[in-house]
Order: sequence, then C-alpha cells, then structure tokens
Amino acid sequence: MTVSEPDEADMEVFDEEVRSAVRYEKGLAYKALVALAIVAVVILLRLFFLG
Amino acid sequence: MIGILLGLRWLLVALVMLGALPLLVANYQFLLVGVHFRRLHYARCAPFMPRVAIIIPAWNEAAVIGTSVDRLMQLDYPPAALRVVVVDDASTDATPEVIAAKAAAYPGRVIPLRRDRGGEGKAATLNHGLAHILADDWAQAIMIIDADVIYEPTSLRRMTRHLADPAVGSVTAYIKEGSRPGSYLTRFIGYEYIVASAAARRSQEVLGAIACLAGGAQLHSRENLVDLGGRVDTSTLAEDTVTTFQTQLSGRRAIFEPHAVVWSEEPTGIGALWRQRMRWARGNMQVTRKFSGVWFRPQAGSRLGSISFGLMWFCLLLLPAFMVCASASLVTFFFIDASLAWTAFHVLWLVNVVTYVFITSFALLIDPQSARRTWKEALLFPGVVNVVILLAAILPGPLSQLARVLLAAVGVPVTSGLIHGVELFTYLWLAACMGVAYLGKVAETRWLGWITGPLFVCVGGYGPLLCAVTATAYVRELRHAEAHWDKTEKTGQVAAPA
Repeated sequence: MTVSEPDEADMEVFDEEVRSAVRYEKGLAYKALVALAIVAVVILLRLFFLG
Repeated sequence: MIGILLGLRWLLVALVMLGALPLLVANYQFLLVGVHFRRLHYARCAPFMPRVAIIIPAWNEAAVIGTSVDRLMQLDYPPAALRVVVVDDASTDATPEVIAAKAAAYPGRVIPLRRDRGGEGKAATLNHGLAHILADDWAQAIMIIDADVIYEPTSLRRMTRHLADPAVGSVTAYIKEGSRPGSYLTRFIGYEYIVASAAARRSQEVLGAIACLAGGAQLHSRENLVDLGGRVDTSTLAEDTVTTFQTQLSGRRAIFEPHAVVWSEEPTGIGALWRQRMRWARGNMQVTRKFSGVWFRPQAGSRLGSISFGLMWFCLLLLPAFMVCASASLVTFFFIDASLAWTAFHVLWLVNVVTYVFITSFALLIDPQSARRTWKEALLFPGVVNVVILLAAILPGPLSQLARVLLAAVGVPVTSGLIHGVELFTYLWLAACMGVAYLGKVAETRWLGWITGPLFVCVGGYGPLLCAVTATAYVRELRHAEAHWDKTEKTGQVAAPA
C-alpha cells in the first residue's frame, strides 16, 4: 500500500488525537502507581492496625 | 513413614501455592499496562485512510443490521473510501429485506451478498464475503465486524492510521459493553471487558504478542489477508484468534488501538452468556492444540512463543484446574495437618487480597467511563462469599469479633468444631464457588429464576461462572462433543453514549 501525503487539516487532527492518546497512556503509569499505593495502604492497615 | 508424610506435606504446600500462580501472573499483566506508553506505535503512524471494505456476516440480524449499516455510513471517513459488504447467511427473518433497503439507500456503498445455504458458522460466511472483496483490487484494507456493533465516528480512522506502517498486518479496537438499559449481567461483562480488553491487550502489546483481535473489530491490510490465503480458518470456533496468531507468525504485527472504541450488545441472560463463552472457551482450546508448536518456544519474528505470553495464556485457560487443585490440596491438608493447612491458605489468600485490590482499583482507573457504571459489579466480581473471605483476610480481628457477636445473638456457641467447619468450608469454596455460579444458569430457567439465577451468580461470583464455563469446555473438548456455532441473540438494544 502506498501512503499519500496527508493534507494539513488531516495532519492537525492526527497530531491532536495522537497527543491526546499519548497523554492518556502516560496517565496510566500514574494510575498504576495509585493502585499500588492503595495496595500498600491495605497491607499497612492489615499489619499494624487490623490484625 | 515419617519421610512420606513430610514429603506429602511439602507436596500439598506446593500444590496450594500453585494456586497463587495465576494471581501473580495477573498482577504482572496489570503492571505491564503501566508501561504501555513506552510501546506505543504512533511514531510509525500517519493520517492514512485507505479504501476499506467492511464485511458484516449476518444471520437473522434484522433487529440490528439496519442501525449498524447506518452508523457505519456516518463514520468520520471519506465516503468514497468506504464500502460495506453485508453477507446474509441464508437468514430466515427480515434480514434480506433490511439489507436490500440499505443497499438502495446507499447505492454503491452497501453491497448485499447472500448465501443460499447457511448455518455453517461465521467463518464460512466471512469467507463468502472475502472471496467477493478480494476478487477485484478496490479494497486496500478489510475490516471484519459483527452485525450488532456500533463504531464511534473516529474509530475507523484511528485504526487505519496504523496500517501506514507496512510491518502491521492487523489492528483491533477496544470493544466496550453497550447494552442499554442493560442488566447486572451486562455490567459484569462491562467490567470484564476493561480487564480482558483494555488492560490485557495493552499488556500483550507490551509483550509484543496479541492473543486475539476482537471478533467485532478486525482490520487487516489486504496484503495480510492475501498472505493468509484470502480466507479465515473454519476448523475451529475461534477464527479470530487463529487469524491473529497466523498474522503474527507470518512476521506481521497485530496492534491494539485502545482509543478506537466500538460498542457491542452483550447477552442479558446467563444461558445466552454461557453459550457464547462456551464457544470462546472451546475455540481457545482448539487454538491451543492447533498452535501446539508455538508455546514456550521463543522464535524470531514472533513473541507468541515467549514465556510471559505462554504463562498468561495457560494461566487463564487452566484457571479452573488451578482452583480445584488448590482446593483439593487444602482439604487433604486439613486432615493431615490442620494448622499448616491454615498457614498455607492464609498465604494464598493474602496474595489473593493483593491481587483483588490492585486489579480492581487499577481496572476502574483505566476506564473511568465504564467504571461509573460497573464499579459495584467490579467489587462483586469474585462473588459475595469470596469477598467476605477476602475481607476476613484483611480484617481478621474485627470480623472475628463480629462473627462471635452474631453467633452469640442467635445462641450458637463458638466451639473448635465450628471453627474447623468454617475452615473446611473456605477451603472447599475455592472450587465450589464455580458450582454455585453454575447453578445460576440452571436456576435461570426455573420457577423464580429471575431472582434465583442472579442470586447464585452474585453469591458464587461472575469470575467463577466464567471458570465454570471453561471447566465444562474441558469436558466437552475431551469428549470431542460436536461443536456448534451458537449464535448470540441480539435485539438492537445497544447504544454508544452521547
């Protein structure tokens, strides 16, 4: 398949959508840390307060 | 004799701990989601919109096919570069009339095909359409979809941009549960799709191997399909998984585009869900056999043989076996050394707690839109009893006090016999929860089934229900039971949120 040169409007939409998707995917790294922090809180509560 | 007993003890400990393997693998899988941003394919993408032929297999889809075609015609995609080929698999309802009306409404853009002899399954229907599409050179890419799915307007172009990279053979989208108004069961499915699609496919992409392109959203480059013989597999019940494997084994990449969203209608009854998942589970077992030379054999050009991917595949496939094995080992252990059995169970259950908290919280964060609808089902995914046992592992002191108060209130004394009985019950429940969830399917069609069916599923657990399907699929495959293509009934009650 040959990829023709995209016009400017298509390129702008493409850039914006890719930027937004990359931002979302990077946000997942922080969300993973939040989930790990929740696990850590549960473990600490279990060890020191709820045992 | 002492040596044998000691050996047996360690063997039982090992078998109980084996039950933790799928949990550890699930945690690993979710951790990979956090690094997905490092493996994005966008650097090799371009705003590329090739001529796409969308193929829809349709057997008695009168309720849904019209809306699906209308929505496809509204996609944010150049109209001249989009054709929809609807293959009517000898429907006996009004499907031919609906397709003919749409072909008249969108001349040249909707192409009706009809098989005179139907009932051979989705793959045979797809091959009929593929033969037509590949007969001329118009289509540069082919999208295989289901009759009931609703594409968000930008989804197709978000997928085609990956085909600008010639190394990519196929692209799939994020299928979300869109049944409206829906039910407790569709909300369980909604949460399951966050875990199995949004999370699992991201982690598979990090590993470089996709397990399955979603059946309702498979975009292929023409070259890829031609290289695969211009046909999809008809020898298994999982033609989409076979195509996914063949694509990657031929050296091309399969891509998951999580920001291309497709809404699908899901079964609202346990019986319909059971039939759908039985087809998927048996299909996966057939795929496991068909590609027996691939597993755990790393090879150049494909990561399907990697250890990590193999562990993920088999931990899911063998999950019911792991559960039964851990349960049986704990019960045996209980009669040999109750104290050590309790310790082993405690370790297993703490791994379970960590997994439950991590996966549930992360999954809900991955897709907040679905999470708002499904958070209650997410919490109840393992079933009410398992959640109580998980809480007991987190809060042993307070829950033990609460149990004592409640028992005292009803006049039941706390004896060692009662405590041992509770221990034995929790060990048995590891496997018995599948049976209880299965009772939901049985009860659904009986008297008061509208309440007892959901009750059994909520008590036993939706996750254990899926395990029960897989366990039944083992038996059917071992017996070489006839494999039907059981179509999932669709009513058109699907909607993409505004």
